[in-house]
Amino acid sequence: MRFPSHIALALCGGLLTAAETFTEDLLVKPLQDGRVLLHFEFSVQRAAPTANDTLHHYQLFPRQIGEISRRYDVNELYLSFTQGGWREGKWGSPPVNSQGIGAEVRARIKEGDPAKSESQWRGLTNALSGVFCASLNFIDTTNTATPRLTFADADSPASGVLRHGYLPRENVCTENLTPWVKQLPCQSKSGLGLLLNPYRLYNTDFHSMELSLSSMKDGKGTPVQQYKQRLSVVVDPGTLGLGDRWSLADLVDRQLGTACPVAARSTVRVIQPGFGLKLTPKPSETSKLAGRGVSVFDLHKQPSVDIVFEFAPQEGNDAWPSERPTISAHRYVTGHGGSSGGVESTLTNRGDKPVNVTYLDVLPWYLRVYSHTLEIQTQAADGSWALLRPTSVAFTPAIDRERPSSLELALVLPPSSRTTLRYSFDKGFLKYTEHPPDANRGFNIGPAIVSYQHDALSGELPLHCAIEQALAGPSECIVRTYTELFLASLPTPDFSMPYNVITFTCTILALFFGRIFNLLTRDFAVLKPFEA
Amino acid sequence: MPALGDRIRALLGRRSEAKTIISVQNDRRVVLASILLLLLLGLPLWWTTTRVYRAELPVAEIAVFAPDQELTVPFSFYIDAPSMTVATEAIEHMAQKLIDEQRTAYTPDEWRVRYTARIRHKAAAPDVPGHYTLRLREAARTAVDFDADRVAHVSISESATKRDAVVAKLVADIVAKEEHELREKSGARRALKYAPEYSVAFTLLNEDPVGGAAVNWDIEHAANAFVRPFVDTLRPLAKLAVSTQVLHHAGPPPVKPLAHENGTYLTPDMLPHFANSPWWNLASTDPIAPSINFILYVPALQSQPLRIIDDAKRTSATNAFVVSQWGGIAIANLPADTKAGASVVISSDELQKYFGIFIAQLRELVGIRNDTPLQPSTRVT
Repeated sequence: MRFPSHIALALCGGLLTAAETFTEDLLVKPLQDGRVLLHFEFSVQRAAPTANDTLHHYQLFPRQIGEISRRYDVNELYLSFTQGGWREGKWGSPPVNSQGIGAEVRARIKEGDPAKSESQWRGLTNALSGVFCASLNFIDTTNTATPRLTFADADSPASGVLRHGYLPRENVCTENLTPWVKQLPCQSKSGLGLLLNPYRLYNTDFHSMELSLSSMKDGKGTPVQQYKQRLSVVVDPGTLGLGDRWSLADLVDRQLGTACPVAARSTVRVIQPGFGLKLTPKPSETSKLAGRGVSVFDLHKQPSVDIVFEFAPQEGNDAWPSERPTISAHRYVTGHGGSSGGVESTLTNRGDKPVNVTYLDVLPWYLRVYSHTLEIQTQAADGSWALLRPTSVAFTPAIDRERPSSLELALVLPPSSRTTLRYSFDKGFLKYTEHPPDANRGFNIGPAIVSYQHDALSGELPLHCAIEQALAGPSECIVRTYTELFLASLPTPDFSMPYNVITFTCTILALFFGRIFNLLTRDFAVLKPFEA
Repeated sequence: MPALGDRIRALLGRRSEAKTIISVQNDRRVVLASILLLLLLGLPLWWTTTRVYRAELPVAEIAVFAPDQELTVPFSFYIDAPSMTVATEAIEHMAQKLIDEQRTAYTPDEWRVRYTARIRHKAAAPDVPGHYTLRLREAARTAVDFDADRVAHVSISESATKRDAVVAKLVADIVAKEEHELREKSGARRALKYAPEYSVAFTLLNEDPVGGAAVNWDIEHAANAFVRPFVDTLRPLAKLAVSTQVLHHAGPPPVKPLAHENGTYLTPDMLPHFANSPWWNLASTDPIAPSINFILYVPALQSQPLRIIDDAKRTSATNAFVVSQWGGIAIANLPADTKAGASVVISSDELQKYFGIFIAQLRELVGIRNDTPLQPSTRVT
């Protein structure tokens, strides 16, 4: 059937770019130990929706996320799934701010009646759980904290309570990747989505997949909504059998095709490491990121480009400058036995200036924290120990089976120092139905989060801020470091007792009953053969 | 141990005689009797103590709620007779008698619904729409003409006395037909069950923008012009929450269209599987409201023009189809001269045709019937 000729045949424009823009970028960074960091970033920006829209239109922005954020009054949402630890000694600063293992959900729900916002939070976690095929519905009041100091970004809206829910034992797999990919405008059929091969993405040392929705003001001051989907993986070409010369198609087992037709920008950026790396074909342009050269391949101009990486043999590690971030944090569990234990955190400040950090530690209710045992000590560069007083302390004690205990400290770390933070807890005794299936494994306890603002004067920008600057423009740089998880093994009851009781009782009963019955009824007599 | 046994028997008061001969038969009988007794008492005891509790339906209490009398649904008819006098009570009485005569008996477990006719003068008609108007006039021949807005022009040639009977029979036929259709059990329905809120989603689905054109639509104007009036009209009955989205690169459908010399086509047996692709992100996140999906499907350039051919090998006029209780799909073929890599925007005027189709499909899915009781098939003698 023929159309009348008044269909507008516009070239790359018309009503497409008016409301929403979509950009996709891939960063490839060869790391010091031979591994490769792949960081996918898909970003949609649109004008902030007004409250009284009755018809809602989505063109590039995913409709499911838009509906969820509208229904539960969310103006800031952050969801991430991470597996594997980020090794900052070998890999430098991470490309994303969340490296905590498990699933993390953070949302700022509009101000309102506390009971209603509690039910909005529950509705939100359940809706996200349904969309992403993850068991996020286990986030309830027992693992939700409301931190006040840690996530207070300057440009986030002040109204609304920020809720932070964490599931340290959540596994990430292809089931979570598929709905994540379906939110993209071109899914995995064109553009950079073509490279999202779950077989290679989950066979990695570090895998982090996140989704963030935030409101901000753009350059002209109009309120906009920024939606980002980021995926970072650290792939090891060695385990895949690739040597010194491999192509991007070899690494992810997928070929690049044309750029996504609705993407305003579709690029692959390769960050040049310190030593020789030869790229074929020649890039569209070169630029700088975090003090290193970047080769940019524009997929609109070079569709179906197959980038070949050729590494010159390394003489030593002298070419690699130290890329460790300024602040590192590690947390350990101390103590033995089933009745008590302690937490010890080590915060290292490698810079030569004092840094204001906030430390957030959320422990579940069954680890009963004694806040009076909190002790903070600093070891300066010359080896002397001193007590450190926090600038402010926000401690929320736990309520059994209702909320976790949350400790938030604002500290000033002296330059070139190592700060140790210690406190003790008692282990609670759980009801026997509250233990997980493998009870003797223990409970994963979520990480502590150390957050600070990166001072422009002190050293290089961390990688995630450099990426943000290169793709979106300068913004303030907030760095968050997540510590490791630990396992808290709680005293377990003897789960075999019901079985023992039943066996014992039944044996006694059988023996006793049989004996007494025989005594009552059995009689011995002389048998005489019958008369014939 | 025999000594202990004897002592226990003595305690129980039995004669403690040393048995030298035992009667095998007697003991056998005793043993058998005790086994039988055990089974007789034990089996029922075990059965009653380990059976799953099934609550009985309190039929007597439920029957209290069953209405003694039938549910009465009135059909209002307003008579507009400028040139003659009409006795509305008499007509109403006659019509009701005719309807009751035509009614078949109720089965015992059927919900009893009784349609009645209310006949009033036009002057008493309310402002809200939804009533039937009969305009009577004198004419040579008796005839009924059905007009829009539920108006029927009835031309009557009878004398004054028989006029009422004619009108009453017309009204009775209409109402009885409605009641009969309601009471008949219908098969699989196309419309969704009633819900106070529905979530309606309009999706522009482009199969392949890389080998074809990137498509977008001027949805804001079209939705405001074509969808909003319908949503506002339906507001007293059900709330429709409308949202639209574009799937820019959705991939092929699960059924591959069959090739033809001039494009491709789909047959009716392929249609139920057409919308079943896992990559078409159509799921709604609304926890309560049932969702209705409408897809404007732009096929890949090599499949264009895609047509739907029905069983009689005729091309469908609208190139659209309804999926029962789910939604509707309309196929939009791009102009023949579209090149690969172009960017097409479907304008508001072109969307008018598609939204006309969608609104008609939406009426069907919500349950609005296209056949009114005033059918041309109602004969008037």
